[in-house]
Amino acid sequence: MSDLPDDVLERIFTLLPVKQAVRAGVVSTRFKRVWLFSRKLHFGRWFTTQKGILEAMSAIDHVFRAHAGPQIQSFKLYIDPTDIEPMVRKWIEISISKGVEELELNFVAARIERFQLSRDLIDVESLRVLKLTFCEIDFPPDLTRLHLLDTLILKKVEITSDMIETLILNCTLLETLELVHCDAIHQLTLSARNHKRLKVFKLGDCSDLSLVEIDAPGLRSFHFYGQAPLFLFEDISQLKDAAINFVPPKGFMRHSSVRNILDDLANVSVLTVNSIVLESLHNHNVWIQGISPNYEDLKHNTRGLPFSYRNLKEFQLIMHGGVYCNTYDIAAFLNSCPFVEQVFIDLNECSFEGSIYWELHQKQELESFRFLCRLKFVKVKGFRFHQHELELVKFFLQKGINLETLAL
Amino acid sequence: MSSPSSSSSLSCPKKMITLKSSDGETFEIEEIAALQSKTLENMIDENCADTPIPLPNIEGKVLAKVVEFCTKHAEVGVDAESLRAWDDEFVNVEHNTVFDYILAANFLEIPTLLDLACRVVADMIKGKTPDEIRKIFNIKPSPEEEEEVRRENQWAFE
Repeated sequence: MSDLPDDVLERIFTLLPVKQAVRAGVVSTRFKRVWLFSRKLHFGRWFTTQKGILEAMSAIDHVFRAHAGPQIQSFKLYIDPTDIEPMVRKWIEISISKGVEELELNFVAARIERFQLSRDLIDVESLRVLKLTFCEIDFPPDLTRLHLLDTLILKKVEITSDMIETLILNCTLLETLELVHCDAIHQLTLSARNHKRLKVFKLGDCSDLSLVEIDAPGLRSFHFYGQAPLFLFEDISQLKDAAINFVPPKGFMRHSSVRNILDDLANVSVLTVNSIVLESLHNHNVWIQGISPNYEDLKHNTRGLPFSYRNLKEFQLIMHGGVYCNTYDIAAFLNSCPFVEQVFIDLNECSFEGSIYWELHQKQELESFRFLCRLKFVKVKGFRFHQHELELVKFFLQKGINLETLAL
Repeated sequence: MSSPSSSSSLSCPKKMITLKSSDGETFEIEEIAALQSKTLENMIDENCADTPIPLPNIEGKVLAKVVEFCTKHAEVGVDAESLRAWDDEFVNVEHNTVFDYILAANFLEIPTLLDLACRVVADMIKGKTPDEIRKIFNIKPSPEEEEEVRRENQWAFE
């Protein structure tokens, strides 16, 4: 193997995160100063918390002052910005002046106040990836330069739905959008008709969210976690992968709305839900809760669901949040998925209710359910050989006539 | 150099360049694809590309792959995502081969291939100790220098 020339080795070293580039400089004096041209300035959690804030701050400042290269491709920072905001701002400004493409700033370590990001630090032409945690953004009414953004991930950021909509309007190349714990959003409209690239949308734990409207013809993947809002799906024709995990509401669950959501998602090929979603699909659970169901719920009998998941290939269930979900609920759902190939169940230390209803009615009904001819793979995590877990496994063995793998 | 009766560029015969590897194999590449290499671009501009261009530093099997890369990247209508996926597959090879790509891309000055292959190597050495890095690149160590670098940049070492 022939030796690589120095200029090539230098090029390789500048692609290393700066800390490792310094270490690489140890390799030979030829590369001693290579780290000064490093294009990846990453200062993660371990770096800033291990050394103490003063040391970390002076080290990062040293890197930025000494940086001699023309380009900084990515700047990733995890730090408590309290009392050092001007310095942090300076580092961000330097990164921007050197054409930074990826900016990842995590200020969750800040004790009380959110870091303030001024508009000039956001409306940046070179930015492709923006990941922010625990800050406040001073948003301009329109963004003139930030239009090449392809990934936006905001966690614990004070941002309103208007700001999100402005962002989406301006960033037509957006591919991934993730909003977690953004409590200032009350109603969100994802209007992405012109966004051919928008493929992934994740929404989690936004405690004040009451309405989510999605019109995104190119969307492939939608994940939701939190208290169930009202969902309005306009065009989600390309949606292949959906994950719906509801947190138990303070009041009671609107079962018809859960059914409507599942109905809207009937074309996906991968579906992940937690048990509260599954048990909301069936009436008998409503009776058990002692709440009289409304007319909508009475229309559907316990036999089958009104829709069928004909494209569903992979089904994942996390036992979380539900109370009554049992083997019957799982079986009844799968009965509507004639072509399912893989099933994953995470028992999550929940045990099934061994109700009389199950013994007297549901168990027999399982016999009449269809065979799952395409089912090849089943995995049950957290299996403890309990009675009801065995009944679940029995169901799979009975109905999965072409089953190849059963992992417990 | 189009034939008189052609009406669209598609019916034009494509201008081909011939490259000759160190072990005597010849490869044809479209001029458009060859333009990705600054070295070849210069030769084309100076009209030295009408006869087979000898590349004594590059073996046949490596040159074949370089031609494949340049041809793919010169294609029109390929979306960024599938090109990225194609690139990932292209460099999903043994380390020695990646080094060969780097040397070829460096010699032929193909920035896209050079960056791609260098990124692979950077990822490869990311967690390695200086000694391991020296071994991979065959660099002679010198302990006094190592101490000096450590001292100057303590923050980067635990």
